[in-house]
Amino acid sequence: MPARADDVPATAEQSRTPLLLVGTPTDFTTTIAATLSKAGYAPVPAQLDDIPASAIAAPPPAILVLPPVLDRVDARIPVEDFIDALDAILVPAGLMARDLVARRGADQGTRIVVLLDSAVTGPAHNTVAAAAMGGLLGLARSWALEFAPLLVTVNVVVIGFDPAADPGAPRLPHMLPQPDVKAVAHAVAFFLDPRAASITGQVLSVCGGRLASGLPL
Amino acid sequence: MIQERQALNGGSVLVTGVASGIGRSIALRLIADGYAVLGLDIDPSPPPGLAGFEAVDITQPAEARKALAQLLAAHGAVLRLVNNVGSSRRENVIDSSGDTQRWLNRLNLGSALLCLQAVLPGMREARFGRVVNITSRAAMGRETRSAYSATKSALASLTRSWARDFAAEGITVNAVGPGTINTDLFSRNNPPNAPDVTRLREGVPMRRIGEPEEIAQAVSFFLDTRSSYITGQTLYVCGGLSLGAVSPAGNGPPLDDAIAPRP
Repeated sequence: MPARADDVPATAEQSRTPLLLVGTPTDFTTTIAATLSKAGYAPVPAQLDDIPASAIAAPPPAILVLPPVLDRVDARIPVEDFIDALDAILVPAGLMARDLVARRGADQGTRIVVLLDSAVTGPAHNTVAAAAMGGLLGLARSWALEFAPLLVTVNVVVIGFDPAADPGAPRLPHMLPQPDVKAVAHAVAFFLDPRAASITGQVLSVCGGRLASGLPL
Repeated sequence: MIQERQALNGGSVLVTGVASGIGRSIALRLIADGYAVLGLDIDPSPPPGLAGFEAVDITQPAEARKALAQLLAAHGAVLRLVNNVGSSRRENVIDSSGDTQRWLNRLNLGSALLCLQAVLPGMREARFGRVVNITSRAAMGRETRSAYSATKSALASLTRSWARDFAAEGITVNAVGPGTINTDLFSRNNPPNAPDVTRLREGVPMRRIGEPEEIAQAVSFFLDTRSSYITGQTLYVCGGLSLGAVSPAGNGPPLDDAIAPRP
């Protein structure tokens, strides 16, 4: 069983739990992967539109879908480009779920965690990211319902801050300090844990209170 | 009261997917409210009383832009928009090819952005606008319809984003999220006493399927001039279904029965 996502000694490679990391890595998500590695997972990178045949043949017990990396684009975007952007994210996400979970049939506890960024709450001037993150949220919640009979759980962790974009942001007195990347990894590890077998379809914001009420559930 | 409402409101409102179902009921309600209703639909059989109508496949952006331009040229600025058009397809994840997602991205999402872009210049010039997006209770997740749920959840996020984009210009953007609604399409696919209908109905806390006119009621509210300090909100019109999925028994008997003394 994987350990807590803290600084714990790495386990032997053969006892580590394979973790498919799906999406384009960033410094932030790379740090999450490193933290999860210390917690007993063996991350295997993959692209959303290019899942390795080996993973399809033998799906890993843990899957972490990384948030797509998107430019900030407002509502003036040509509709054709908007649709292309959504197709590029939502279509392969659905096919990934089909190939790694649905076609596998009766399952014994795959854990899927979908990481989203705060664009899911609908920030201003961010049409494409809001739609993409919202779409992934709808997929994740639907997968949770459809895959529950397969004993597969699907949960969402919302990254409620962007330390790279605003490293010097002052602490707001009515909120907790800015959470760091390890706090996000800890939430991911919680949902991946085999003991979280009856938790599915949930959305957890790791935000220090900054997204409170920002995402109606 | 009606005269007051007409005086406050009036003007043009564009409704997409106006030929049938919820869109048709919205159009008829807004006509009764005193609006000049303009409609778009792929089905060339709009309800009576529209001020303008264009038959167009809204999943084709170039064609839809032309249709919108013709409506605006003929009727002037449109300060109210109801992004109603949408569809769904029952599909298990295991059967997905991606085609349903691609189709719904165009129909349920591309159409909303397309229409927003068409009417936005007029709204900005008037420093007034009302946009209502028809989402769904399924935005919270729906098995066998994950592609549809994704588009409706995306539209809910867009509602909040666009609300922030345009709030300072007097343009509100809200959403109405229908639950299971008794449209013609629903009736054709679900005979009244079919087991699925009984299961659906008993899963709703109000123990009934909603009527399209109940969606129109919520849309009319958001479009009203007096709904000027409400933006970025989603109002579920679902008989309580959005409270969460429960087994029919979980809804419990009516309270009077529950507390009645045993004979």
